[in-house]
Amino acid sequence: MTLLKVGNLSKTYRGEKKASLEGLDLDIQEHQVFGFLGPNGAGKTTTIKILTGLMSPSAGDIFLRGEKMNHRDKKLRSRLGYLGQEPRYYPWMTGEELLIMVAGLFGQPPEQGKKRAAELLELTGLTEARKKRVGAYSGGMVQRLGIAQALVNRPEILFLDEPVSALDPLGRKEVLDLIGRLKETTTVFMSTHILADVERVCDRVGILKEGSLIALETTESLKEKYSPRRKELVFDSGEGCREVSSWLRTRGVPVLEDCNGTAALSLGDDDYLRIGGDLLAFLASGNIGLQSLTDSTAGLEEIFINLVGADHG
Amino acid sequence: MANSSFLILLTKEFRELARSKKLLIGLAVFLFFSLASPLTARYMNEIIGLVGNQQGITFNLPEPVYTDSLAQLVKNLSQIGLFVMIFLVMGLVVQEKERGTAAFLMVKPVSRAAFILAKFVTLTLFSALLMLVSTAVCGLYTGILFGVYPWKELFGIALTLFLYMTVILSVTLLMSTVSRSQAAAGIFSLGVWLLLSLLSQWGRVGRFFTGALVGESSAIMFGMSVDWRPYAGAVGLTAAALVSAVAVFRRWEA
Repeated sequence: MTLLKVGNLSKTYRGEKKASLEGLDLDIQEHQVFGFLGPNGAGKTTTIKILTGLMSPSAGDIFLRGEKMNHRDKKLRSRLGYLGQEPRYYPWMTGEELLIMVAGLFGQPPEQGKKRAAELLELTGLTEARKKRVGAYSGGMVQRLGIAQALVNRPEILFLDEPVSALDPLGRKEVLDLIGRLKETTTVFMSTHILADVERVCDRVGILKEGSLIALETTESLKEKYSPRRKELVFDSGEGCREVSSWLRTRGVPVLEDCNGTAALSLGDDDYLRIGGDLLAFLASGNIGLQSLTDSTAGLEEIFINLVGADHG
Repeated sequence: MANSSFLILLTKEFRELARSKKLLIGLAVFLFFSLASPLTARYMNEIIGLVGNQQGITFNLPEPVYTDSLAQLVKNLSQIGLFVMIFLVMGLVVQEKERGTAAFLMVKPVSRAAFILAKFVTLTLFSALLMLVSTAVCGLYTGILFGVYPWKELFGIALTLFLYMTVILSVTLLMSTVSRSQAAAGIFSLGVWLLLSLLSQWGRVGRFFTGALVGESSAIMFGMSVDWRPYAGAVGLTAAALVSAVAVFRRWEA
């Protein structure tokens, strides 16, 4: 079921001629993690800020469960959760105090607020640190507290703006695991430029380029649609790999993944069909050992680079 | 829910004031002046006399009276006291915008007017508390040193200085809402304070500007009649600054 629908959303900042967001149409399905991808400056944060009422659009409509919403409507804000990029909270407050305050802002009575705060501290693994001042939290803890505060009102949709970009690998794993679990209870709209994270947790992906949406697919269909089929060749040695790579280039065959610190390269299926026989003969004549020859598809990163242009990659 | 969110924001502001030590700093500064003012007034002649003796000069100075103590208090609080207050509150809004806590609150069902009003009420109560404590202490100490407890005059002075402070701090709140950095907010606030003081010299119209309130404190001190115009002007300027701060913050985009 469609939870959030956005029609013709546009934003041109004051004093700028070019639109930062141009006619964006989106529909977000319930209980999914939606990955909003794009290079820096593509308009991801602008979109999230408009959808959460922090910024006014120049044009466009927002529908939540089919109901048209004013982006500044308190009713809309009471139904969503938001975690900004590199969030910072009041350093003098404890994590528990922050969550109780947020519960109060959503109209929850104090007892209910305390109970909800305890649940969320448990969910985000912060129970032990609940009496600690936020100023003493690590980056990962602040991020998890950020997710906790965004969930206080049991939002129908949770907006996360680059939720893991500032975290170390351990912190990233913790937060991504948590996001993966959240879709059981809510819908997640997550902007990011880390493609491995998208592959890991997102069900559906929208790719934004210079303020316009250029792809909106499930992660799987995006791969099927935009990923050329290819052959991956793994050699016995890096030297053999480089020899084959040079040979392919002399024949004008584009090498897609080129022995980068490994003994593997890949080339397009069509190219392989065209020169496969010659290639095998070259391997035999040069006594180059081939370990495996398999079918593969491009990763999301390559699709992303192809779609938004290598200059942004 | 609107009222309850205002009260929650108000509580948050007071806790912040206390935990960030601003309350303590404000109290320390104002208490210092409330003790130093009577002391300076009472012993200034002796100090000058001592210096004069060392140089071989004799000064004929009038005997100090309790109004000297009050005049010192007015001078100290309306200048250094207010300067410290501007320094303490100039980051109220701009700091929240800078560190992202304003955005964090504004995606909750909270009105932007409530956000600004909670800060204004906190400022006002903070100033009221400081004025109350400092005038009470100054009154007691003046009584001990001069034998006169000038409660009536001090009450009028406290009220006048409180209003004076409220105007300038409302302007500081507005500047903090408009500015992009704390330093800018502080500099703009000091600039408007100076401007309002200069405008108070501008003939009849000047009587409506804040600077004239300091003169009214002297009138109260010496039992003279009080001009209502600076008071009316102060209420008007405070309201204008507050309404402008709300209007500016409503248009703010994170």
